[in-house]
Amino acid sequence: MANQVQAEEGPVKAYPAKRFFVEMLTRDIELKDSLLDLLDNCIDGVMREKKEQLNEAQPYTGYEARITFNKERFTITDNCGGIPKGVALERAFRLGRPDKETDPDIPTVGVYGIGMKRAIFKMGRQAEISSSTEECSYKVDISPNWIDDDKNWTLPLTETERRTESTGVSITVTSLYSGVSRLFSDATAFETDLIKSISAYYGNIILKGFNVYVNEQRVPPIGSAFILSEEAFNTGTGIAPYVYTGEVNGVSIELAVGFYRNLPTDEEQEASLSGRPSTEQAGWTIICNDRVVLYADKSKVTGWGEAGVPQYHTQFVSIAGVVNFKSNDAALLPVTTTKRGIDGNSELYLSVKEFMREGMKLFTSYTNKWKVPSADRPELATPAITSTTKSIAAMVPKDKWSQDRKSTIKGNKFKPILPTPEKQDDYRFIRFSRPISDIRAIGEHFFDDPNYAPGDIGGVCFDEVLKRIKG
Amino acid sequence: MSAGGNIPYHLRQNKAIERNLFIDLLSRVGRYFNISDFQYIGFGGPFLEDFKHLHSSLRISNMISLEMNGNVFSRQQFNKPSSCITLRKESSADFLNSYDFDAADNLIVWFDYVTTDIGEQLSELQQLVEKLSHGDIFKVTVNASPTYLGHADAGREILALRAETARTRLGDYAPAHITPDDVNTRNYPTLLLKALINAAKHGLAGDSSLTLEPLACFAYTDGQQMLTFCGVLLNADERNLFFEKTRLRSWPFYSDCTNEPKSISVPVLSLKERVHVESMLPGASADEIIAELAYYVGNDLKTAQAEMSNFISFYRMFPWYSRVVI
Repeated sequence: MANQVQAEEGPVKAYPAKRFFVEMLTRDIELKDSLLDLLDNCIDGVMREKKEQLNEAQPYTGYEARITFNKERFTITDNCGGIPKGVALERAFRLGRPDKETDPDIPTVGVYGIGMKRAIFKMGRQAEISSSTEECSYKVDISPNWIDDDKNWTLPLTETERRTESTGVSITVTSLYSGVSRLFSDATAFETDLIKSISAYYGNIILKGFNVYVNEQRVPPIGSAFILSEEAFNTGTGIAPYVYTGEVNGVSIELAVGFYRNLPTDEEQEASLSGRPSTEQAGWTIICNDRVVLYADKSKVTGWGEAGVPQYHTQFVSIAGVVNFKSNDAALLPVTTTKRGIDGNSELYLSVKEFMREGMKLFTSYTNKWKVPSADRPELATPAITSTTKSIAAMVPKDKWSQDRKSTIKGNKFKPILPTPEKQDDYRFIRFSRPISDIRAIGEHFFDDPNYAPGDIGGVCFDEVLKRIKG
Repeated sequence: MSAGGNIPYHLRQNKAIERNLFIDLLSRVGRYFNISDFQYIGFGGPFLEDFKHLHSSLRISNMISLEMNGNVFSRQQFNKPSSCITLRKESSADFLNSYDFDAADNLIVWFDYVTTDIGEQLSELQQLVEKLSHGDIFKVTVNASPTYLGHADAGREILALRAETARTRLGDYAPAHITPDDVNTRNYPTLLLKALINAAKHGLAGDSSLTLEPLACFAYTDGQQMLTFCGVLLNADERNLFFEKTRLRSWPFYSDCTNEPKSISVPVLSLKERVHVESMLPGASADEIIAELAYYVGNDLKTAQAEMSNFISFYRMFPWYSRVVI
């Protein structure tokens, strides 16, 4: 009897349920991020097309993606080469990439083959994906029925007339979920937030010639910028970023950290305490194969608040750093599947992090040393120069590099010698509180401006009294 | 607020026009909501002018005034024109934290800022909208003089540097792209309007039943250029009914706030001039009036024409000021 039952039941079911992809995977990612995934596919398309020229300064020129949305539909259209029919039939629409063999020689961002599908499932229940390549044009439809049917794991592909000159992919999603529809209706200013995200995360790629339009508005790039004086590179002293470059196991690394703006004023420090809006350029930006995966991070992930580096504070608002990882095998890069985070356990990342911390500490302690305003504090008021890690590394004279012997990377580093105060007098802070009306009266008396910064008003009172005592 | 404590609000004519437009707007919204049951919250200033006005023209009888300057607060206690005003010695930021919005009736809130701390004001606007509920009306007035962005001595770089400062000050609420053109005196109100709408919309992220319906925005200059923005929170499915009943879309001063704010500055006329110009109205155009006077009133002809056109729109709406000896 027992034997009979065993024979009837057969093997257990271990194949995936569609709900897993449609309802669960989509929870791991924010809408904004899944839209960036769609842009990643455009970029990977360009990389395939321009394989040979990827090291040029502007490899993405002429390529673009146009995103439009409203409360009923979402569309993204690119001119980045399209998905070859063979790839579509075999793997582009599978939920997850079956092998590692796709594009072995191109530094793509896509690895797991889930981005496009996850983005579609995140937005709605109906989609049409059409693609034009030199070879042919076709479309693939995803319907609500297909999404609900756990047995059906194939999608119909229909050949179509080629409509445009250019080759590329167009994805339209309808039957939007109500939350997504609300965001797309712009009731909560989603459009501006998305444009800003694309500016930050795609800044590097846009600067290399790619164009992104959101509802017909061209997205402006945000790139990295540093304050540097040529002198600092030549003499070794002055304001210049800390630079590190190296290559290990097929991944190249370029790192730069320094000041990108002037030190914060008292008002700014106060403002951040009362929760006023801020721009968030300070912190670390991590780039993997041109794609920003972490933007302006100020947490432990990038070394703040660990191993002797202080926690992020408005005092450090002038410090920004960039790390650029590049590899033809995207799986070697220290990035998570959502491509919006760092794999904190990656050995490669942990060794690079040591240099991130070393560089960062130079600048945090600089802001400590110059906390006290003094006449000989070097002015950081010079505008920062927009530049890539590569161009900064190229500016460092050959004889100023030093070899890193300790770490596994064995790279080269440039450690600037930042100016220190000549005489380290003992200073103390004085804090006190007085009625506003009195502060305003003194402000008017000394500066002809009742709204002058209270800190400066207090300072001048002190100096005046001191002058009187000393005669 | 403290800096504005001693400005003679009652003598600022553009402000007076703007206040009248607000009453006009509220009475139209009153065709849809029972506006006299709403509670009004605002910065009354030493004379509580707005409160008098709202009480007499719309029968609003539950009002709160916020004031953080102790001396002005004492003046308010002396000047308080009606028993239905509660005076609170509190800043708008503290009010947002302490007030029980859940227990309140429908609200009309007007934060009429006089300081130039736009960053704080934007974040207060977001907090305010987060706390408001269906039917509530809010209005904010902010300083829109780009000179406060600084860099007065920067020479030809001034606009580029101002744009940079604007980006920092507006922070998360800044539009994605700020060009040097956006921070000249003419365009700065439009930039701030976008930031205000952005801040208000961020306040709605947590409540999917509500949408922001902008109703009006004006720019005017009584010494300082100011921008004022007013909106109401509606359910998405009642929009059409709201506009049908209020007929706001045919109100000449209605704006969905997607374009630049309407300027409502009028020329500063002498008594004799005003009597003369009004005798030609309604009927005469700005050009005809200027031709008839044989001179223009203002810094240059173009501004004078624009302001005279505003005068033609608003002459019925703003008071006569003159010296009274008691």
